[in-house]
Amino acid sequence: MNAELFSEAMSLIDESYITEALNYRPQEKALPRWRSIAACILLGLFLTGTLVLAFSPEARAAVLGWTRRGSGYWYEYRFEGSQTHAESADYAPTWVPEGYQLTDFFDSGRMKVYFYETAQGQAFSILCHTNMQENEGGIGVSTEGCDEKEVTINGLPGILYRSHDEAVSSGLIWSDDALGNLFIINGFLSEENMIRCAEGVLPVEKVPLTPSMYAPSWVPEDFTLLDTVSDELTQQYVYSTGADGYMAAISCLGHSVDGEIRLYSNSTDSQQIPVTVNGLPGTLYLPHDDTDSREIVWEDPENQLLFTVKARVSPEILIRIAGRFVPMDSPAQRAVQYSPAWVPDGFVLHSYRSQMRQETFSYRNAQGASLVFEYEIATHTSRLVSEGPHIVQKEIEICGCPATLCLSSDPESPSLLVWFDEENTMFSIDGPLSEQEIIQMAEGICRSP
Amino acid sequence: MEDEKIIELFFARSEFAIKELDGKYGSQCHRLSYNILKNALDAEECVSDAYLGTWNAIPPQRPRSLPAFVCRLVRNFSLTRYRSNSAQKRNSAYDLALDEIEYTLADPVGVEDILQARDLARILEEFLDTLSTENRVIFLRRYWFADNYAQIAAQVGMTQKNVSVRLTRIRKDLRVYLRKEGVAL
Repeated sequence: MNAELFSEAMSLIDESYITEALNYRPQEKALPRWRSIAACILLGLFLTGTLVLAFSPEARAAVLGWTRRGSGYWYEYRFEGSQTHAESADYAPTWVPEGYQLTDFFDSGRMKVYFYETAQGQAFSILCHTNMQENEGGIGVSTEGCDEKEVTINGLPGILYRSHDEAVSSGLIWSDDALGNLFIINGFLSEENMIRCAEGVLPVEKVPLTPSMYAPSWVPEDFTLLDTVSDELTQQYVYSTGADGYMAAISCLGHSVDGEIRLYSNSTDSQQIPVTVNGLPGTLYLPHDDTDSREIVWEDPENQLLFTVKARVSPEILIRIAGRFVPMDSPAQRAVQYSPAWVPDGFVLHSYRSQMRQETFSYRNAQGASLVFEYEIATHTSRLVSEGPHIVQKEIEICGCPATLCLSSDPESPSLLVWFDEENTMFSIDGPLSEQEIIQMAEGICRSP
Repeated sequence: MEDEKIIELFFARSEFAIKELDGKYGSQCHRLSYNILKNALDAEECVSDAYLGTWNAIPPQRPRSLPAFVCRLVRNFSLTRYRSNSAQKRNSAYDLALDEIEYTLADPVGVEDILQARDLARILEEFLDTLSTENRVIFLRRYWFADNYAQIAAQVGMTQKNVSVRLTRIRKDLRVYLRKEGVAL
């Protein structure tokens, strides 16, 4: 037998195998040991029992609340406070060490567990249990191989369990007896990071933000809206595009109560370019395979929203769609638009800004030099020039329109080309380009309405 | 659009069926063909041929799985093109996948005459049934879709190294299984 026969035979196998391979999605990974410990903690919540030793015997005499009982290497945290405590806010981490990403989240209402992991597989978890009721249950903690250190986290008492075994995670447990809250950080973090992380566990708003008020205010003419998809956290517009009918999607994803935005993207195998969209940070994903769609993902941290646009269009068109994906009550955008059809080699798209009468495309090269194309319709500006000892002004024509070229002989200072069309739209290109490059770029803009 | 609706469009002879098919599965089809041919233009043509094949086949056929149906067509067209191109050069992802499996299958002269592809397909199916779902998917993604390790790793949620090790073990198991089934290697 040879590979060709094998290949032929593979072509004949039942399609159920092909379907399975097409539709397969990985299951949750097996829990590593540290996470198993956290899982044991969760499991122990409603199961564990007897008491031996008070968490803080002296304080316990005065205020009922979380108590720690146990001996040796096993302790149980149990709430024995009154049930008159005020309603607690939800808590969520606001800081984690660099390199950690949220990989999993468990939510049972008053108990939430956040799981974080680095690309190298180092992990830790943060458990926040709020409004525990008396005798509701206990949380079991194994402390084998750890020593203890009393700490204070945001004014609350806690114990740091420092592991001396590389295979065993360290832990930090602190509690708020007045509210019946208990917090546990469990993982392979340094003492300093663990305490800083704990201090960053703060109350959060419970109300999820809805993204449904966003809508595309501009898409290319050959986009046909096929469908809109929306739920409480997602708003998506699906288009068929161009003659070949490729799909495009514009999405806004809201922030769930757990503090996580869920984005499923297959753009990880792409060149990633940091960009800004109307001042918001984002990433442009350019696939190595030109037949794949390009994607831009950007974020509105203030409103806790994430946006994506995915389509088989140029980066300039993609970022324009992105920049014009705006709240529904935004003022109507103009119909006319211009974008560069050509930029000199080495410059990549860096940012885009869209305003009522103005659009700005900004590019950067590897040396950090900036190249900006901007236009403003119905401008109030009548003349714009650059002056200086290294600047030579020339009056030229761009596509039949009068233009002023301020050409710089100093490589450190940019050249500027400004022209106005018959409808009083002002165009400008500002960057370290030669005369030929700046004119070529300008003429490309004329041809791309 | 759901697959059933796309199939209904084919039955209605609506050209929108091709558009929907391409929109939904075009990316996978292009990737599959490109993995085999390593040539965007050839891949584009093979995918177009597969769409035309789908158009001609439905109706009367009503596939159980539309993506499997169209992917099989894409693969067949791509392999045909691959064979006609292979005399010129060997550099595709599919070459690499075949080179990998070649050792497992090696190879006295004339065995092809005895063992028909259909018989081997049956044995391969039986072997696939012995694998875990994850390993089966890894095997299919490598030797049916010609995905590279990075693509497989991304789909099954493991590292490229893990994929490589898994494939080595699966090939070894396949060799043992083929011997057990009396397939001369």
